[in-house]
Amino acid sequence: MIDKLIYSVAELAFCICTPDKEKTSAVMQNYLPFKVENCTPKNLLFQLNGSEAISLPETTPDDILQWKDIYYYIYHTPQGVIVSMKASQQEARFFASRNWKEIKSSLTLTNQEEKVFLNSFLRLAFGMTSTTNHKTIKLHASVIELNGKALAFMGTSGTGKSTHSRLWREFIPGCTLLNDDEPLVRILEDGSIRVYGAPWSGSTPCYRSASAELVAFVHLYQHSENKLTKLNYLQALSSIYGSSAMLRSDMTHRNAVLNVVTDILQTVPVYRLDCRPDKEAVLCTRSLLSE
Amino acid sequence: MRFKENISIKKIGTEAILVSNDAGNISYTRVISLNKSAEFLIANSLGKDFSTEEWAEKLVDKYQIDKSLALKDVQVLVEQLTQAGALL
Repeated sequence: MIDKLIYSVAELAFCICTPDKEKTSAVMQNYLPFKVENCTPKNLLFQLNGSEAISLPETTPDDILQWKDIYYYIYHTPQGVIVSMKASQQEARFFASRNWKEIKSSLTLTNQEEKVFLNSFLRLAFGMTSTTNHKTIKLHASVIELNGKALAFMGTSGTGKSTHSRLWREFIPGCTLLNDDEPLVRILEDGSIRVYGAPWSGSTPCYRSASAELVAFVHLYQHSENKLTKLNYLQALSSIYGSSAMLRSDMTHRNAVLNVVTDILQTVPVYRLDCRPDKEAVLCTRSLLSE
Repeated sequence: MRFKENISIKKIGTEAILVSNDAGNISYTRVISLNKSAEFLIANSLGKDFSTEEWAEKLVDKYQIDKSLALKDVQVLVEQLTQAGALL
């Protein structure tokens, strides 16, 4: 007996087919806030089945990625994409049909040890299926929300994105952390731009099924003085495209991400904040949310 | 000369930006800002062979400027495009 677990992230759903709902839910704990009872077919991104035999092509991989301790070996075949993930002597395999709608996995989906593989693959599959048809990108940013409006703080790792967000919560009453590392930004059908929490958030366990209107992006740089400047379109494009997640070996996906980023920048401004980790820096970005 | 395959012009607000998105790594993606005449030349040259001579002629026709000035402008633009890795 196969049951279906449905999750909705950024108002887009995916379905996990499992022989044991309880065990799979336990493997996917960070997804719990995103669990829904059903979804409209239009918003269903993909369906994933476990316990499938998947053989690897005898060619060299088209791309090898590393994310934390996991190595991804990616093969593009005429039928679709095969991903082999390896971490500490273990391997998991996935096959995605050409449109990524149907996904098969070697995982049983019921074993806690599979958690890191399943989580990593779902993140990838969500990225691949949400960009083109639903104008959604995943950004490397920390996002704070105040009264339904949000700012996304970006910057290379170690710049102080999370620190800036923490200082916001310290000094600005009523603001909350929406996501600390991997929020989703989506252009809705009415043209408005929203930022969503996700079941992924770097090393901060902030998995909120919530969203806010994205008012501005702020790219942070460490400096001895606090200074906020607006970026021109060229700088803005480099900043946001460089902070977006994409499958590098897939040109179609790269171009889709580029198109979504370009569209977002028609509406949302990008700033540069040279900053210290202090209250004055927070007041600089606070001014962007004033009515 | 010819543009590489994955070159596109993106319009954001009033600005035209050329994106060279051809390499396998995101850090090699290059963007440059285009003025009106550069945008005019490039938009009509993607996917075709072209020469500095032809581009200069196009500028002369469109803006009624001196051929020598047009050639200079074109050389500056070609230099920029080469640095951005946009040309084959």
